[in-house]
Amino acid sequence: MTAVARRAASGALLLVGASVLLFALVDLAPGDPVLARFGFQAAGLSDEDLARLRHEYGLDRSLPARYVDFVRDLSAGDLGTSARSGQPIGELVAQAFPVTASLTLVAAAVTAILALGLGITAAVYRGRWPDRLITAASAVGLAAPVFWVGLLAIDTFAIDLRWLPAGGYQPITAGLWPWLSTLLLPAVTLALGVAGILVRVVRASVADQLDQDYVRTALGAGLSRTRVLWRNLLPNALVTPLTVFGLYVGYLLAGAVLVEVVYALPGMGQLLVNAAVDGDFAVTRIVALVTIAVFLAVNLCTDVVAMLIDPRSRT
Amino acid sequence: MTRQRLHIPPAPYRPGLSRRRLLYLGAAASGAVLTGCTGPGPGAGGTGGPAAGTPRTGGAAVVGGLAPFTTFDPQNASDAIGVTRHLFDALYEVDETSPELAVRPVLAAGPPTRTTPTTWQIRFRTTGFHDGTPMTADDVAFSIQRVVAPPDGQVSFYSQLLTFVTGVRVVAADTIEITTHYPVNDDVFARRLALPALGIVPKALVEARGAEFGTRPVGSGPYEFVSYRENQSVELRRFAGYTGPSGGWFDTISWRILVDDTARAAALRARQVDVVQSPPFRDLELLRGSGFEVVMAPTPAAVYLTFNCAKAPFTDPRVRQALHYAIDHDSITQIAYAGNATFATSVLPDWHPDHARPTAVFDRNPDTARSLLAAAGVPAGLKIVLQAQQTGYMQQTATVIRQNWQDLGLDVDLRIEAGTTLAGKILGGGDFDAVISSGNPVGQSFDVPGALSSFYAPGAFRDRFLRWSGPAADRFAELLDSAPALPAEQTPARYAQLQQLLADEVPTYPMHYLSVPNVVDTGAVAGLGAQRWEHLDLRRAWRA
Repeated sequence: MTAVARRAASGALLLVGASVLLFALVDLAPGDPVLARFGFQAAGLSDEDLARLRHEYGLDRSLPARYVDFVRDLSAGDLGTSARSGQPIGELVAQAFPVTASLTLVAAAVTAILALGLGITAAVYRGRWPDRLITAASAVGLAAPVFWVGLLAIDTFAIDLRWLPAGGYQPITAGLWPWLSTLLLPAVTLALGVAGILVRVVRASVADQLDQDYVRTALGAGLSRTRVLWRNLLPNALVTPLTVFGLYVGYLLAGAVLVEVVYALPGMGQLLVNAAVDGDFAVTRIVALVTIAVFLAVNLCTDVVAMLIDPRSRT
Repeated sequence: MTRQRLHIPPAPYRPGLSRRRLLYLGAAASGAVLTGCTGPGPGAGGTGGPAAGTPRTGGAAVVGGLAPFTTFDPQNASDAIGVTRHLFDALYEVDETSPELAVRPVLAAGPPTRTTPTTWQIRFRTTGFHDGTPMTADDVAFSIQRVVAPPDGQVSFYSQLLTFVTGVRVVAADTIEITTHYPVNDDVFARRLALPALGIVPKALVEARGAEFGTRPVGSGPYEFVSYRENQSVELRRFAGYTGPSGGWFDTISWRILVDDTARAAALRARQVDVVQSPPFRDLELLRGSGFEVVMAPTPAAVYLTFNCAKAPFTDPRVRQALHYAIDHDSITQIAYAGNATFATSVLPDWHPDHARPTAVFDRNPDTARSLLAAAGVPAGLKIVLQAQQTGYMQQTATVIRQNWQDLGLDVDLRIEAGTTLAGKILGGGDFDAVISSGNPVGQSFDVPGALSSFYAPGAFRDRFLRWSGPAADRFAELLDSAPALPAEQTPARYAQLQQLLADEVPTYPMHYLSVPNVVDTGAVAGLGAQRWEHLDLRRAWRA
C-alpha cells in the first residue's frame, strides 16, 4: 500500500510539473495567440477588437497570474473554452476521449494477443523455423511506418475488399460490431510497432524461464507442459513484459495522433493536431495534459498489477 | 487605430439604368430561368418526376469536408460558408455560374430601389425560419445591422466592407431601408448586400442564444441544422417549409470532416462519402481512373507572393517586379497544381468581367529580372528569406521560386510554416522578406473596390502585412476610396487604373488562380456543376 501511495504521489508531482511546463511552453510559442487564432483574417479586425480579444483571453496578464487562474479553473472542473469554436473544452474532450480510449484499448488488446501468442510460440520453438519467422516478422512490424501500414491496410481492406470502413468512428452505443469495425484497422496499424517489440521481450522472458530448474523439476515430476506454462512459468515470465507494455501504452497514445489522422478518427490526436494548427492554445494545453494524466495513470495501474503478480516489486 | 471608414465626396446622383443594373436585371431573369430549369424547389410543391437528370427530393448526400468549422453564425462564418449557405438565405447572392457574376435576389422581391442618392429600399418576400417563427422586417434589418456595427462584445470580419452604411431601418412589414454615407453605385451596393455574412437570422433567437447561436444556428435556407460534432460531422436536413429559389433536394446532407487529404480520397474510393472537397491535385487522375467525376472551374482563389515593402531592397517596386519576372510559372503550374491553375495576369482573374490586362504581366523573363535588379542596385548574393504556408502546393511553388531566384544569383533561404503561425508572427510585427500564401479577396467581396480593399486599402492588412506606404500607396487608396461612388460608365476605366497601379507596385500579387476540384460519385449525386467558389454548394444537387 505504501509503495502504491508513493508511486501515486510521484505521479501527481510529475503531473503538476508537466502542467507548469506545458503552460509555459505553449505560451512561449512564437507569434501572437490572437493573431494566430484568426490567421491572416485577423487583419480585418481593428486594434480595439484585437485588444478586447487579448483581454478576453487573459493575454494582457502575466504568465504566473494566468497559470494560477488556469489551475483554479481546472480544480473547479472548468477546462476553459476553445478560442476557435467557442465550445467548452470539457465537451470537446468528452467527445474525443472515448474515441482515443477505444482505439488505445483495442490496440492494447491486439498488442497483447500478438505479443503473447507469437512471443510464447517463438520461445517454445527456440532456434527453429517458427522462431525465426516470428522474429523476422516482428522486425518488419517494428520498422514499418505507421502511415504506410495504414494506407496499405485502407487500400486492401477498405477499398479493394470492402471488408472494413476506410475511416470514421461509430460509438459503442451504435452496436458492438459497428464500433469494432471502425477500430480494427487503426488498432492493428497502431499495435504492430509495439507488438514487434513486445514479442521479443516475451520471447526472451519465457525462454529465460524455460531454462530454470523449477520448470525442469515440474516437467520431471510429470506435470503437463501446458499446466507448467500457464500455472508456473507465465506468472514469473510476464512481469518484465507487463512493465514494458505499461510503458508502451504511452507510445500507443502518442501513435494514436498519426493513426487518427490517417483513419479520420475524431479522437484526442485529431483534436490536438487541429488545435495546434489553428493556434487554439487552450485546447492544446488541455489535450496534452489529459494525455499525460492518462499516461501516468496507466503506468500506476501497471505498477500495481506488477506488484500483485510479483511481490518482490512491492518494495 | 480605429476601423477604416470611407470618406467620399458625394457624387451627382444619376438616375436611370446603368450597365450594371442591366446586368443585375438580366441576372434576375436568368435566375428565373435557372429556377425554371431545376424546378422551384421541393418546398414550393414541385418535385418534378424522378426521370434521370431531373431534380427530385429524397436520399442523402455525404460530403468529405476539409476542415472543422469555427462558427455557423453567418456574421463571422468564413470557413463554414459552404455549410451556412445551405442554412441561411440572404436578400441577394452572386450567381457564380453567370459570366458577369451577376447578383440575383434570394429573399429580396427585386433589385434595391434608390429613393434618394443615399437611401435604398429593399422589399422582400415573407417566409419563416426553421424553428417555425415568421421572418419579420426587424429580423432582416437586425441581420444587416449586426454586421455593419456588431453589438458590444462582438466582431465581424465583414464590417469593413459595409462601412458606407449609416443606418438600417424598417419601413414596412416587408421592406427595409438602408442609408449610406455617400451615393454608392448600384453595382457595388447590390454586391455588398450579396455577402454571405448577411444571411438573415432570427433576431430574438440570436439575442437569446448569444455566441451559442454559432453552434446551434437557425436560418430560413433550404436546409436546417441538426447537429455538429467538433472534428466529426455536421448534419443537415431538408427544410420542409422552404419556398425559396435555392433548391434543397436531399433529405439529409452529412458533412464529414476528413482533414487528411489521403483519408478524404480513401473515403470516396471506399464509397463512404459521395463528394470530396479539394483532394490533392496529384490524386485527381487516380480518382478519375476509379470512375469518379472531377468537377472544377477556375476560381478567384489565388496563391500570392507578398513582399515586406518597408524593408530594403523590397521598398523598391523594381525589385518586387524583378522577382516576379524571375518566376517560372509554367513549371509551377505543372509541379504544384498538375496543370489545374492559370497564370495571373492581374489582381482579378482573366474570366472576371472587370479584368483589365495591365501593361506589366509577369511572364518568365530572367533578362528583364536581372536588368531591373541591376537598375535598383541590388548586389549579387543578396540573401532573401522566403516563407511559405505549410500546404503541399504552396511548398512546391516555393521550391520552384527558390530555384528561380537562385538562378538570378540570389541567396534564398526557404522556410515552411503553418499559416496561423506565419500570420501570428507577421501581423504581430515580425520581420520578413517575402511570403507565399493563399488568398481570395474576390470570393470574399464580389465587387472590385471591395475585393481590392481587403488587401490594398489602408488598414491592418496593408499596414501590418504588406507594409506598403508612400505616394503610390496613397494614390491607390485615393482612387479606391472614391471608386464605389463612381457612376457606372466610369467604373471600367477606374478598375483598369487600379489593376495597372497594382501591377506597377506589386506589394502583394497573385501568381496563379486555382481551379478548386470537387470529386463526385455520379452514381450517388447528380446536378453538381463546377463551382467558382471554394465552398461546396449542394443546394441545387440531388440524389442520382
